[in-house]
Parts: sequence; C-alpha cells; structure tokens
Amino acid sequence: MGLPMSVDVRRAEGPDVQAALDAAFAVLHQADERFSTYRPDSELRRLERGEVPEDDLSADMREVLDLAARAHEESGGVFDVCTPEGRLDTNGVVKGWAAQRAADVLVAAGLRDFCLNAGGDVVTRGEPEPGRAWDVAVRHPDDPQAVLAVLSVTDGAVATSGTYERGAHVWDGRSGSRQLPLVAATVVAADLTVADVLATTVLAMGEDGPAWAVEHGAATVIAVTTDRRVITAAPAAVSGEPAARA
Amino acid sequence: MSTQPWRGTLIFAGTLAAIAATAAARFSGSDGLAASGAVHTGTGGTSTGQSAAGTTGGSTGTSSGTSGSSSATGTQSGTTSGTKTIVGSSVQTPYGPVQVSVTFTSGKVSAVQALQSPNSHGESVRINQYALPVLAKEAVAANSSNIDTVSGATFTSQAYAQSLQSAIDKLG
Repeated sequence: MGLPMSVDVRRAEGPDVQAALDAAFAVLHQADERFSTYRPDSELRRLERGEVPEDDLSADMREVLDLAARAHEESGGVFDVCTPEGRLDTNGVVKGWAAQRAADVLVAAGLRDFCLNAGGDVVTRGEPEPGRAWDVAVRHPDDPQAVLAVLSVTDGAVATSGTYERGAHVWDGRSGSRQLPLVAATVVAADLTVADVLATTVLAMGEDGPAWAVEHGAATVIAVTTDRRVITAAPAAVSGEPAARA
Repeated sequence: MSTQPWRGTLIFAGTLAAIAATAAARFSGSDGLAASGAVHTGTGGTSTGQSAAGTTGGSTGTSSGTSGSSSATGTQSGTTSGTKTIVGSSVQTPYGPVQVSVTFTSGKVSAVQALQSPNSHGESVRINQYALPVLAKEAVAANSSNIDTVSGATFTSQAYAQSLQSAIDKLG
C-alpha cells in the first residue's frame, strides 16, 4: 500500500526540477513520520500517549492541531481529530496540508506549470499548455475508471473524500457515527489545505455539507449521496461574466 | 537561467504509506504493508528514481513514459496577472454535462459561475450507480477534454493501479 503521488511538470524553466521534486517529497516524508497513526514513535502517537509536553510540540503539530481545532469549531463539531474510539487521528487534515506544502515548495523553487496529485487530492499551478487550464476529472464513486465530472483549474486545488476506498475512515464528530449519508465529496478551493478539510467535513456532514462548505471557502462542491444523487453547490456569482472557454 | 524542457510525470508511492496502511488495517482488517515504491518517468530531462524511505520497496507498476513530445515547452504567453480563471469545460459525462467556472484573484475566489449539472443548477440529479465500465486508456484518449489528472479518494497502490490517474501517468 502507499499513497500514490504524481507530479506533472510542464514548461519548467530555470530551476533544478529534480531538486525541487526531491524537496517536495521530503515534505511528505516528514509529514508521514510525524503524523503517522501507526508508527509507535510518531509525534502523533507520542502525543496521544501523553508523552509530549505541550511546550515540546513541533511547530508542524501545532499548525495541524490549530487547523483541526478551527475546522471543529466552524463545522459545529462535525470535523474532529478524536475518533469515536478515543484515538487521535489527524488524517483529515494532514494529507491536504502536506500536499499543499509540497506544492508550495515547487512554487518556491520556481516551477510555474505543474499539477501535483497526492492520493487523489490535487494542486494545480499555471497551465499544462498555453491557453488551457488543467482538466481535473472527478472519479465516479462506483467505478475507479469512470468520470463524474471534469473541473478545469489553473491555480487551485481539488480534494475528494469518499467512503468507497478506505471504508469508514471518516466519522461525524457530533454523533461518532461512521455511517455517513454521502459516499463522496469533492471540493474546489484556492488551497488544498482548505479543500481537503472541507471535503472531509462535507462527507461527514451530509446533505447540508455542500452549502456549508461554500460559506467556508469552497469554490465548488460536488457530493454524491448513498442513493447516488449528486448535490452541487457554488457561491453566487460575485462579478460579471466568467471567462469563456473556446 | 537555463531552460530545461521537462515534460513528464513523476510517480511516487510510499509517502504516507503509514496512514493508508493503518486505516486499511484498522477498518478492514486486511493485509498490512504491501509493496510500495516509486517510479520516475520523464522525457527529455532528468530521470532519477525516488525511493520511499521506510517502506518495503517494490513498484506500483507504472511504466516509463516516452511520449517524446515537448510541445508544452517554449513560449511564455504573458500570463502574469493575478487573476486566474477556472474555466469550466462543459464535459459530457455519462450523467450529463458538467461545468464549472471559477475565477481566483490573488488566491481569493472573485467570481464563480454556477455549476451546470444535467438538470438546472441546484437540483439534484441521480447518477447511474452501475456506470458502464470505461477502459481507462479509452477514457483518456477519447474524452472530449484532455483529462490531466483525477481527483478521488485514492489511498492504496492497488486502487491507484486500476485508476484513471494511473492510465494518465502511463501516458506520460
């Protein structure tokens, strides 16, 4: 098993692409080591066992716990890093957060046109070719090879949470239930950290989730219910006409 | 500043393997750590294998891409403004056309066009639970738009191997 991550780099100019990619992957390795729910020596596990004094928490751990706390508050308790079984599980935050940081490393290294996909969560920058946005397909919840929708994105992020692969890895923090009314939720936002937390929350929140997410930073939400209805939400248009696509 | 055309896809599996493996073990009681590894594919540029520290090696089975084309390199079309638009390509899916358009200005959403679904905006639409299986390669090749990547809950390399994303990466 493993989280597949791919980076598609176009029009790389100047920077050492390999060094940038190495640095980006290092970010993910570090996140894995720190937030692993299964490595007994991860900071997360040590924190769970009460072995890490508050003052000794890493900056990364503080950042992630802060993000989680904010999401918990904003979602009325739906998003929760404390599992119904009493464990500490930051997976709902860490994947998107780490992948966004990896993307930030690539940007900082000077890469302009790339698409990073970490376990189905996507960050896009620039264009795959001049005049065209990145086309990000959303997987159909019942068929890994079928497409539910395609979103065109230049600089943005697309995150999907679903019950179809890892099973009940998401729970409703309010009830502790892992029986969720949605099978998948996809969120488009400017930043993957935001998109991933929102997608996880929408999945747990249910049919009220898409509208809620739009109020909390989602540019677009696509959710699929257990009876295969598609619920979409997007903010009301703020200004004039959107750019047309040829 | 040297120009280094590099058009390729780098596949990495293994990072955060711990997270995936734990989740799977906890909730499905299935196998533990299986093979994970990394393959780096690329054309016209550097190609160095990435290995996943702390994982058990192996490969996700991706093959190297040899598209040989570097059409994406070259001219810079002065896109330097702070406004970026997510333009909705209206895509015909088995469930009807889906479209979205979002404009980001300096990272903030500044304009959004309502998502078009097979029914009018805001209405729910039922999708086919038993979608016709689509060969990944065909889907990529024949899709009306170019699918560059796929968003989905893809946590395991097994799932990745049968995914559309895998097919896209293989196309390199």
